[in-house]
Amino acid sequence: MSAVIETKDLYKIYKDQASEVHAVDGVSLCILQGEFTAIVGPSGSGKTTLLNLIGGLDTPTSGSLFIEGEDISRLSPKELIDFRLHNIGFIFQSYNLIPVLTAKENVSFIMDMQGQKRKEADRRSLELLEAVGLGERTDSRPAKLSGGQQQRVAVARALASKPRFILADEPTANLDSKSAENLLDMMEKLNKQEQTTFLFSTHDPRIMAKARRIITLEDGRVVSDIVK
Amino acid sequence: MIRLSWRNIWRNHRRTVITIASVFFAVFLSILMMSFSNGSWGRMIENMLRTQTGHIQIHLKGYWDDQVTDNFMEMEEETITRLNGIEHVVNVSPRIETFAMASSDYNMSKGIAVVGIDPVKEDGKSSLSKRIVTGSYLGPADQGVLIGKALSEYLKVSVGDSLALIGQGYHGAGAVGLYPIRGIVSFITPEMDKGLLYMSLPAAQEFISMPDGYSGILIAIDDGKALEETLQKVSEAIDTSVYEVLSWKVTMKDLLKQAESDAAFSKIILVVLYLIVGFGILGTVIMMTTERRREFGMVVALGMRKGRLAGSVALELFFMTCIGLLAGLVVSIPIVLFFYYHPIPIGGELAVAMSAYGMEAVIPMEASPVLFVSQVLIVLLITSLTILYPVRVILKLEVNKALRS
Ligand SMILES: Nc1ncnc2c1ncn2[C@@H]1O[C@H](COP(=O)(O)OP(=O)(O)OP(=O)(O)O)[C@@H](O)[C@H]1O
Ligand SMILES: [Mg+2]
Repeated sequence: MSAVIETKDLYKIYKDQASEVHAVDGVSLCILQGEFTAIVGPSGSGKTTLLNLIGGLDTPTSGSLFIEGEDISRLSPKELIDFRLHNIGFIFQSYNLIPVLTAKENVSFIMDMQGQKRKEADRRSLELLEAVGLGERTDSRPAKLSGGQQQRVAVARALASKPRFILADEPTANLDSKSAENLLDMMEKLNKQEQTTFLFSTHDPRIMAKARRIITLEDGRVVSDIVK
Repeated sequence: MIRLSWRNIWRNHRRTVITIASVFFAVFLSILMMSFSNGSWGRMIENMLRTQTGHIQIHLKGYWDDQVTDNFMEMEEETITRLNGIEHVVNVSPRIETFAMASSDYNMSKGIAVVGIDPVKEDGKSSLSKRIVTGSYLGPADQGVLIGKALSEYLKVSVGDSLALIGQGYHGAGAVGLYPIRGIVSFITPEMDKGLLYMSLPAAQEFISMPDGYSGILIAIDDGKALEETLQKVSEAIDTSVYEVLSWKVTMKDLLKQAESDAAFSKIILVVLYLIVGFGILGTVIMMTTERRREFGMVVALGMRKGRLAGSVALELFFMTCIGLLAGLVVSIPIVLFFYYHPIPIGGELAVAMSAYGMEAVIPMEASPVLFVSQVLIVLLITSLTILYPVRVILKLEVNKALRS
């Protein structure tokens, strides 16, 4: 299996006048094609920071980051935005969706930006919403959907762009445990069906249990990396 | 993209209504105000020029700076006829304006302005005969005079009495004469009422011993906008080494200044209005930007270029501005046009006085396309400036910070 994400000695250091926070402190990782990986660790251990670095939303203090062999630290800000559009799917913790667009429009929005044909984008949005179990709610606006349903739309959107991998920072944090487990089951199903690589962070032991690989962070360092 | 902007307009109704209403009122009030202010001054000046002073005056060179009898002019009848034929010229009135001491049998005397007119022409343009309160109007070569009511009271004279006038004749000649009063006239301005005397042009020429003399020639035109070209043509029609040709902007400097200061005042009010509206819109724009910071972060994270996002937000504000602009124009244009064709009538004594001077007693509105276009452009400029705020915020957005907020 080829490496989709590879980090080498990645550091992110926040400096105050007084203190220095090593949010990510020398992380070297390799995420392979098709993996379903959880990043876990206590609050403040650097999960969000690491995912933001990998997703090109933040720049490392030092170290290197390769996405399918490409050094993305070389990209200009504009190129980085285009790179995200075509290569990375994002699922955020909450308020993932554009409030004025319907579920279907939120999903096709990303394909519009990629320049795909409207018709093709519409077809694929409906297909993906069907796949996440929202075939009935395609024309609802986010405010009319439950938290769990909104996250499913976000999953469908993340898949819509046919990314190399999907990053999800605590996608279940705002969900009740039933919806959280449903969402994970669905993500796992899509991971298997579409061979899409997932990298997500979580606090929740039951969610971790669904991952096939668990990377534990503490104070910005990888303290364990278990493949089941 | 356009759909997104359009939908975003309606996400917060209150904010949208405030923005659209601000634009609406800016356009509506500024158009109405400018139209009214320009219109009333424009009409007032036109009235004044048409009935009283003329748009253009011809004098002997040097007269305007030194208004003495020795600087009076003469002009051939044929030249005057030629002036009459110039396009836009509606009225060419040679006249005499001089000063004299007037005394009555009761040993009362007063320095007054003596104006020599062509009684027929003068009546045609300023309806002088309508303002006679007692007595009668002047015949074409009348040897009698008309005086203001206040002056008649001061001198204790009435119709049928005679006035002795002593003044300065042409080239040192004395000017003396005894003139029967034909009529008493009522003027609106107290200065005129207290100190003005009209006589026929032949009588006035005889008084100053200058049989073909005039102090000047007043020319009225039918279209104020044709002033410059008519000035040019008048200058070409006469010998400018002998005569000076002055526009009303010189002869009526004070009136022009007053109109300009009034216009400046309107502009200050307008600027205040624009500032209020501009800051009102800016306020809602800042609120909107702050509220949507996280959403901006999200769409940039997903892969939307900042320029594109900024464009879509700018488009939103542009849509709102256009709605407000259209509403403002749709409401104000009919109002302005209505009052342009049906000017607001002036009531009371002023109305009586104005019609007595041959003026229409109305306040018209100006309805020029320039006015509408300029207000629309100014409002567009103001909203463009407020658009700069979210555009700047988006271009400087740090995605990870925006997402954490
Ligand atoms: N912009 C910043 N400036 C300074 N310090 C920061 C900044 N962002 C994060 N940190 C610090 O970096 C460390 C890692 O934060 P991070 O948010 O990555 O942790 P996390 O594992 O995601 O925590 P949580 O489980 O609470 O989401 C924390 O100590 C945090 O205070
Ligand atoms: Mg976090």
